[in-house]
Amino acid sequence: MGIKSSYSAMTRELMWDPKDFDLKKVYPLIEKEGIIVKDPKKWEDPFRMTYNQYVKIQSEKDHIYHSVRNAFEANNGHAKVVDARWYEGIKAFALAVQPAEYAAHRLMAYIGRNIPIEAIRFATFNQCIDELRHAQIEIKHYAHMSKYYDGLHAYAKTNENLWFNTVAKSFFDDALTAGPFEALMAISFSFEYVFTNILFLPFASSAAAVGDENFAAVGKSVQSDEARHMALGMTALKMLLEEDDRNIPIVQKWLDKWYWRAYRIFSVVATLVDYYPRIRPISWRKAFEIYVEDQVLDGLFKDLRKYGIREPLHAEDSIKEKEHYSHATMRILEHYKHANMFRGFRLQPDDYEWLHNEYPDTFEKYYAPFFRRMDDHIMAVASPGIPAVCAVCQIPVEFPDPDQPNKMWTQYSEFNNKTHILCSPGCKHIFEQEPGKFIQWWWPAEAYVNGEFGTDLPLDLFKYFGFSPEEANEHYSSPDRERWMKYREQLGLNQRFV
Amino acid sequence: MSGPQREMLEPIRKQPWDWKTKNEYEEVTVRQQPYLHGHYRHIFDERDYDIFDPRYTRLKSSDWEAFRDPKKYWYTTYTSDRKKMAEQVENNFSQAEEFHVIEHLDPSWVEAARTIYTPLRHLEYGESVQLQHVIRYALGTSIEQCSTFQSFDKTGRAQWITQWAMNMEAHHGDFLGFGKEIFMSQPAFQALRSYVEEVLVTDDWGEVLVALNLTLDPLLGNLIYRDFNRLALKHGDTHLAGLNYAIIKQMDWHADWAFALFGLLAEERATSRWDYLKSLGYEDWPGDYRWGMTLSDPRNTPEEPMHNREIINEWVGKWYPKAYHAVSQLSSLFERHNLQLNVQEALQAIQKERIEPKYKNAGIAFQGV
Repeated sequence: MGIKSSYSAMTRELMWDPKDFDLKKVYPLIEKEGIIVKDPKKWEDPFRMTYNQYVKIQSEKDHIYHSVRNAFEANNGHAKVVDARWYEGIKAFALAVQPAEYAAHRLMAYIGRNIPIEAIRFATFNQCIDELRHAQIEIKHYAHMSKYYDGLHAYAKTNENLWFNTVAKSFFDDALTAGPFEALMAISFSFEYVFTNILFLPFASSAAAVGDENFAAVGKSVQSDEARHMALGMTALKMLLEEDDRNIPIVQKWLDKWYWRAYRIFSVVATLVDYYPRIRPISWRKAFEIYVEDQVLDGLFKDLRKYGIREPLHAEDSIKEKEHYSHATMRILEHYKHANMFRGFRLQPDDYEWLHNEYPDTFEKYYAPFFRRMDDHIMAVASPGIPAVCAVCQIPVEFPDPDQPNKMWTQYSEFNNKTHILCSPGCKHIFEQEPGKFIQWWWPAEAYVNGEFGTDLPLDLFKYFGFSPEEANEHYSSPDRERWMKYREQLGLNQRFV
Repeated sequence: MSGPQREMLEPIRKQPWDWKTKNEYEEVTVRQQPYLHGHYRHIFDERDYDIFDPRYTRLKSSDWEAFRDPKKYWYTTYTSDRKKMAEQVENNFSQAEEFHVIEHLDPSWVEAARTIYTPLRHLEYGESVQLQHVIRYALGTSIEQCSTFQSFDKTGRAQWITQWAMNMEAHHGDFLGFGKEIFMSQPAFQALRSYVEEVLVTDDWGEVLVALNLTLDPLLGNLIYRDFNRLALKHGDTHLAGLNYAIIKQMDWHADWAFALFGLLAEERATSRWDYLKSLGYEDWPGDYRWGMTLSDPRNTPEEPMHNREIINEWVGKWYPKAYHAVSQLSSLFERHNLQLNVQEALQAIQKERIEPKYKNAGIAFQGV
């Protein structure tokens, strides 16, 4: 038997068409989205990975990662980064990305259960268990970090209740409440194929540059699984497009929605590349040009033209925003740093220099004055209370219009006699496609004001966030900073040898 | 660079999290799944439930986080264990090939294995598919994580049996196609096929686990992977026995974790499906209000009046006899192939020695057949 037919025996031939129960009862969601799949049998999982190969390869990979982690933990690697403010970024990543990995794990099971296409099902199941891996190797790392640094110890409550966490959570909740084909496109295509490289590659390089050996290893280890997930995304997309022409407009609509939805979650990643590392191997703008513009918009979407698929709506807007994205997002984080479990920080002279050189047209002109206001008083730019956020991406509505950067891009949409606020044309479009869905979001500010978390605001809020006000604010003036300096002193790392 | 002078840095907390964890497994498992403030309602599910909602099962719990896997598997320990198992299975296959075990098998035994063992790849796979439903809807990471690994085990097992069948095909003609034919239309297998199809349309994740782990799997698994396996050894079929050796290990863990879970749930005193909120520190949660409207106030959905113990008994009463009947249908195949094993007697022995004690230990009532 050749590899192909034996793989087929190991996957697609295992399932059968139920005889005693209606197929529509076994797969109740299969026709709901209007997707037509005539001959799913001809589709192949490009990776053809069997169970045995999976456990052997992944177990090896896992052991390699844990060796790095053990060394990092045993040798106080956390004290050896060039600047501890990096960990504020790591906390943001921890609290936004790690729960997302876990949600993706549950989501892939939902997709696999409900799409009866065996070649895809085995790949979705591999991804389902991969995502559990990512959630666990990340949380395992934070378990160690949590013993030395603030902000991570209450991740469960933070994830359930903090305004910041609704951003990533709402993305996955949106997919979990969609039909299985839409969910597959949302994750396998938009998230994995279009954006995952930009999440793990630049951020892992930043980690390596600042000396966080462990996080560099997390990034690389996770990314090695993503190659499979990207292949699944491509296979699934091609399958839907080739099976029936009637699928094309439906898929196009999903690509429009999920491109912008994924792009918006990655706003925080832009700050993790441009702001938090003191040594920066790459800027958001360059990373976006390489991983999104070249590889996706100019590469993949050109190949998709033959199916009648065009670039996602608002892709143009994301290109325009690349000169502004990290600065506008960092500005938002600085506004609300008193109500977050990771801190902002005062920019140092070398930061201004790097940002100015990388963003000659925008940083100095539109953003530097804002950051300089923190030179005299670190809380000078704090906005009191909890932000008004976009009804789709749930990021505070403070993105400038890239065509007129002194104006906000904020949009409004009427639905059911209420005005809803959106951060951008991209989110407005998404809202108007499914307003009935998007008005069901859990809006923290409303819950807080309605007294869901008590009446003594803001102190009662912190009880629900799970962290104390001292764990927020600014890094260089924080207890974390002080402790980190002391750790370095104890280890003799504060000495300079020329 | 650690040495005697190198003092340990003083951590700010001894425990990583705000809740107690006793080991690595708990560190990476407990409280992974969020419980509150899911964002939207499923667009095709008119029940209007939250993303992780206690109403996806009739079972109640005062603490959905309380369950622990007796084996404490998390991704790293699970894959590491299964890697060893996969290597064992592969080594056993190549050894059997090397020693010409497969080609020298007695033809009558080959026929028996072809007919009785090959169709199991489909059953195992069908179960794996419905366990993915459990992974999505079960409440609490410790429970769904066990389902994840079990589902993956069953997928792997379906592939192992497929590989075994392909090895057999190299010497003894068609196995895969023949096995599927048997599975789809040989009368002795129809009740089993139908049983798994019924599991596939069972929505309550708790019931799915009962229908697989507490009823069908202990009966079918012990009959085939243990008793039928003894016959394999009698016929010198180490090729098949080596595979069953790995499968039995998986199977015993599947039973262990499921009986541990249902034992715990049977003891449950919770009277409302919302009691678990107290264990999470959300006893004052006023329900799911959005924009001044209520998305299905939990307190307005009717409570399940029965206690867990009664519900579990009801499910066992519904599925166990069905499973027993379905497995006992295989006896005609055992007779036809002149196997020295009386299926009815074997099932009685399995029930008495292997199943009853498990129910007893878990404190769950058991009638048997």
